[in-house]
Amino acid sequence: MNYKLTLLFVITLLLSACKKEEIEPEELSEVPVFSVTGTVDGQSVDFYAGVDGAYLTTYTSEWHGVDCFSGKIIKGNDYVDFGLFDGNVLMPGNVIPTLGTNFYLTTPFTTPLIHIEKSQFANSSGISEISITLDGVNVGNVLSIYEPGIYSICIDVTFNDVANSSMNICNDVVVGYNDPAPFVLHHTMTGSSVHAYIDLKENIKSIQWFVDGVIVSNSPDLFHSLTPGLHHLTARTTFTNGVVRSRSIIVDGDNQNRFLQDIHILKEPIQEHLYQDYKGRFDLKVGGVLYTHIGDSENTSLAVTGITPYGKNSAGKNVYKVSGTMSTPMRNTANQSIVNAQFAVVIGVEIE
Amino acid sequence: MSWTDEELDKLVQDASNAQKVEYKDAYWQEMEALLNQKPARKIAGWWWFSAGVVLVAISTIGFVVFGPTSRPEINVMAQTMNSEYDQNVQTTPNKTTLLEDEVQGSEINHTTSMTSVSSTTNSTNNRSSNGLVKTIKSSKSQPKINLITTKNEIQLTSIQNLDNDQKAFLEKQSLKSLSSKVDQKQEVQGAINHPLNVEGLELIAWSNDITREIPIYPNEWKDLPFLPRNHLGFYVELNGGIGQSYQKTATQNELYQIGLNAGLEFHRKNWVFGAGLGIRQQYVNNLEINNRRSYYSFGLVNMDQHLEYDQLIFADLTFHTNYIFGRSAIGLSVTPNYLVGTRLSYTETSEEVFGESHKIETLEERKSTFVSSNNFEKFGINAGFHYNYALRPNLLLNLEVNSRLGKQLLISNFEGEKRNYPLMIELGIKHKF
Repeated sequence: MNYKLTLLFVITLLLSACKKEEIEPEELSEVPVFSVTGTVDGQSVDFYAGVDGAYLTTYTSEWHGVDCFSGKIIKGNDYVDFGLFDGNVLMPGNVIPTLGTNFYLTTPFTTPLIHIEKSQFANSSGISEISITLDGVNVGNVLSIYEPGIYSICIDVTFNDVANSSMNICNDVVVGYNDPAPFVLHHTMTGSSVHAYIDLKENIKSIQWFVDGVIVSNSPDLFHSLTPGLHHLTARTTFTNGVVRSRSIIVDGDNQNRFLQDIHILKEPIQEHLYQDYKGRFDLKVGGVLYTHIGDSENTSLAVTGITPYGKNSAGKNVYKVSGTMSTPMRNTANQSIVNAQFAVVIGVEIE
Repeated sequence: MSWTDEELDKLVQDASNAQKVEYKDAYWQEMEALLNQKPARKIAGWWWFSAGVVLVAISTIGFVVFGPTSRPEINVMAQTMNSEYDQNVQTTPNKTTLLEDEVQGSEINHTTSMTSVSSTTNSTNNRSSNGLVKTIKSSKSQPKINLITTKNEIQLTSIQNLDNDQKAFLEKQSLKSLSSKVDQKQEVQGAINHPLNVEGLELIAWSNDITREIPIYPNEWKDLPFLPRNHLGFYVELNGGIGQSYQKTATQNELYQIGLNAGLEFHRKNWVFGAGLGIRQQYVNNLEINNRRSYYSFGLVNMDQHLEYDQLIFADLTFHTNYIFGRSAIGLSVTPNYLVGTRLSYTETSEEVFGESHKIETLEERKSTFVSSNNFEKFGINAGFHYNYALRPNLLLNLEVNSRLGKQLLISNFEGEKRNYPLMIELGIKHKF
């Protein structure tokens, strides 16, 4: 028995000595990890993070309410700046793009994504004037948005009635991106009763109806008797994917053509491939001249070959290494000339 | 002056007129019993003379091979039965002689115990002119064995003054069976399988079925070995050592070690073959690495590392072979080993450069962390010589000198000059089961 206990003790000592921790540092690169190399306007350009004082900084910028996951290699006064726009707007959290995503550089829109003026409304004859506020800034009585984003649009409307009644209504509008909850709030009046409904019937979990901020119904359609005068009518819709969206309109309890439609009805439909989801942007500054990319779908290509986690930056945010190649015309902002550029890109972007 | 005829006649008449011995049947029956016993074998004198010559020759060879010991000069002589000895003992024919030696202080008192036998023996340190005599100089506490000696064999009958281990073991040997063998006059060989102090003992041979017979020669102090009880045994050893460091530096060129081994040993005659597992922990002083390196990340990163190792832990697979002589043994050992882990204190400072003016410095520090390090050669082999001395039957003292052979332990650029074949001296206590 004694020798068995001794043998067990020796074996236990050996086993207890087995679990160890490796302390050698993580895999370190003997060559630059991040780089952008290529040509612009026939001129060779190279940026290697860690060479000649160049370094990478990663950040998240906001473009009209939408995140752009960006990285910038700075070398003295020159830099190359690359970003990927979020493709999951208004959804909780960020979804990391995968290689299955079709990547493009952004293309500027030449027609408005939404155009708002008094004549656009069905009851324009009953409207005296409108005043539009965009993201808290008054822009007058006409609004045209060309750049994708999420905008807060408020309209102060004055009606053609004896009292020159007026009311203000606000809505958040997504333009240029794939809206996860695309619907329009409609209404009809029968006397003082309003019948309101949304034109999307799928993937709806619940709808709450508010009149002047007071919940009046949870039914899919609203049938409600209004008191005389102007009223706010709001539909708060919860979808099965967790998205909660609200639409607000102005309705008239006197049924005297004093109302304002849901401004979502004024959005210009665009083809899906034109959405800005996960599209890239690219800026380059060399020799004091800033070049911006031109998103020409015929002459522009962006091939992403790798998106891998790299680690964390100094702010503790996750960094992903994006590898790929790009070819695009670029605008020389100094003389507005259009030049060709081709690059091989290995850059880090912050995605948190 | 001679007897006259008248004087002889008178002597005869006086004898015939003396009181006669009373007749008793018991006396006659006793005599018949004695007459029925087999007569003791008489060994021709020439046989004993030849045996004596052989014993002297073997003793001489043994003395030359193993050398004299530092024991006090006590002569333990093999009792040889010869005609000269018989003349010193008054015995009844065909009877054996029982000798019982009571040891008291430095004097020897001899008494006889068998009722039908009376004897006297010489118990001095003198050598009789007729041959070998027994000399004993021991204390009362020395082990004592009572023997039956005949002209051609020596047998064990009882034991005294043995420690509990020795007595317990011998008791296991069944003295009853020994006694029965004594009655049958059979030679008992291998009866004693336990180390005993030979002072005062009269043994011809010492053996068991695992080792060969170890003869005891006359006039020789024999430090009898501790004979193994089984062919296959288990052992545990605890040892400590001091050795040369793996690096030559200006100071602290030594390392210390403690170890624990356990395994199996196979005994065959005077050889032992063993194998076991063990674990060693070394305490080292001067294993340091200073690294400076640059690498690329968000920018250029300059990193300084200082690593200091102070403990090494090895797992051993030991193989050894010993040759036993007396209570000592010498042998070789080969020990493949694996570096299980090291204890490390670690400091790393890094400076990440952003442009010409912006730097981010970080410091990482760890104290006394056990790690599996790639700065060492994990597998190695040690070899050495060792000497064992049996303190007790199952307790040995082990002294070993060994060195690491083959690949050096250190791989990376440690401070100082690497030492080839660092020596280690180990002292251990080994217990056998």
